Amino acid sequence: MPELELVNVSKSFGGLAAVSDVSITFGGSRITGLVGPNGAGKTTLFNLITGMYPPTGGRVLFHGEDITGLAPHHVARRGIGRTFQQVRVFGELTVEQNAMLGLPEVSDSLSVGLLRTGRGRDELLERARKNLEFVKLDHRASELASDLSYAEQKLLMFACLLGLGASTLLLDEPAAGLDPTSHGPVLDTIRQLGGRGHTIVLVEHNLDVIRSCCDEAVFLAEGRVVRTGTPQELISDPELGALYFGMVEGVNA
Amino acid sequence: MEVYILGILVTITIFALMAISLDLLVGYTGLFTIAQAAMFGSGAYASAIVSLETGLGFWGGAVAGIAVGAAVASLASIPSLRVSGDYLVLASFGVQVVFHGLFLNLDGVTGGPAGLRGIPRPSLFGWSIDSPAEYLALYLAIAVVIVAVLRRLLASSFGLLLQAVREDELVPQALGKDVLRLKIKIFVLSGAIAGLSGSMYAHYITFVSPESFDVHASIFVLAMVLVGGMGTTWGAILGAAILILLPEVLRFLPLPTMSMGPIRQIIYGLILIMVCFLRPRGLIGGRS
Ligand SMILES: Nc1ncnc2c1ncn2[C@@H]1O[C@H](COP(=O)(O)OP(=O)(O)OP(=O)(O)O)[C@@H](O)[C@H]1O
Ligand SMILES: [Mg+2]
Repeated sequence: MPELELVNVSKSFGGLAAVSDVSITFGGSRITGLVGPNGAGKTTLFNLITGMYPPTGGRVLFHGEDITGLAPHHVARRGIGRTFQQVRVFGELTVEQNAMLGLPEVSDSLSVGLLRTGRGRDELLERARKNLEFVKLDHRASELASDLSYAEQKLLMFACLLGLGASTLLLDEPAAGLDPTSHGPVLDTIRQLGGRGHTIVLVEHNLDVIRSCCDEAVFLAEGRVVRTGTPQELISDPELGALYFGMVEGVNA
Repeated sequence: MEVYILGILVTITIFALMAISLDLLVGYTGLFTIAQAAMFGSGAYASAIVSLETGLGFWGGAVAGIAVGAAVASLASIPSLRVSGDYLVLASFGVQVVFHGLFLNLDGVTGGPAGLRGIPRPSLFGWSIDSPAEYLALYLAIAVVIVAVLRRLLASSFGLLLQAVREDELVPQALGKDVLRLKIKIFVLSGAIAGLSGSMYAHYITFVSPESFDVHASIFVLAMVLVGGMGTTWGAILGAAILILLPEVLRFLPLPTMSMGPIRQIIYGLILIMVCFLRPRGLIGGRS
């Protein structure tokens, strides 16, 4: 059974078809790249999968179960985690508190909040620390998240996400906005996560990143799947190149 | 003089609890509302009615005050599930106006503009509380218990989630947190404490009437939170102390009796403005 399956998913905003009739199966490979020009609908697709928007049509299946229209927190609890295109860490909280937030035990339960003893709390801290170690931020645990560099904040988003324990991770441009020297740690983290058995969907404009991380990639343009193949196949396709660079340049110009 | 000072301390205790209840919403969770007097007043009326009608006294009244305050708060939480920011302020203002209107016009229940009189004083194991010193001891004990439980809760993972939601409502949802339920819970908790403080007020003054629970009362308590510092329990307590003490201190200024009222109001307003300019994060520098 595929991990995550989109069946004829569509979404329009008013008259604009942001995602049209998209069918993709994720999970055949560990890390799948999702590429395409600006406005192709990549982020919207993540928002549809995670329940942030209801789709206008189609279904989202997770382990064969229909999760279309579930509230975001239910989707997350089922095992789909995501990061956001902009860095979104909790700047007024410490690095360690950010990492704790991902843990399922941190919840709206008043009784858990009141009754959890010192030991239970230490155990949570311990797990949060492990996730910080994984992204090599443990030495900054007690600093405010807003004091971290941009690249470190991106890593912190991972540590936070790891706490959730989701099997599927949707990563929206995790390397964007980083200078090439800080790519390394972020990409290493993604590869390691793939190695740990997570199913990862990686949105990324930088094709070098896609090539170095993904076994498979999906090319999206104007809300439709244009092609699926290995990163190399997509990169060497002149038609896609024209579509991609034509549009990227068009946007950047 | 001693009785006078003790009386002020009792008032501070009551309003500190109310300010703490508002700070749960405004300071800790970032839910800016001005309906606290609606919950405070509902608690005060519920407590007055129950103790007047049933003879269950202060304790029965307090339970009713807590329950009704929580119920009103769960109503007031509904707008927050859909809107935030300016719209939430406006919606909570609506709640405040509606409840003040109810207090004023439900004559059969609330006594209308005349209010309810003769609310019994509390008693504890057959010992009746009637001097300010006894009130202070009882009310301080209640407040200390509430503050201790709250501080434990706010230091827990529940409190952590509140602070996270204050910064960003979407990311916690993506991390599997039920943000709507969290908001309802914090409203209910806030309303329960506000209702309790309303009950304490009713059994101290022994008289309730609508003008104690109008929008000015809500703004007064909001000012306590802002002056003291949002998101810090101590800030709310300090803010309550300052705003209750200030008019009392101004009362001793050597001013001609005629102009005393307006001048006090002006001085009072100026001090508030000064605090906002000089200490925008409140006196205990909570969050901005
Ligand atoms: N909430 C929204 N309301 C209206 N239109 C939206 C909304 N979200 C996305 N869109 C539109 O849907 C289209 C797809 O946007 P989306 O953000 O999914 O693109 P993307 O592939 O992630 O682009 P980028 O590479 O720039 O991040 C765009 O035209 C965008 O303007
Ligand atoms: Mg995007």
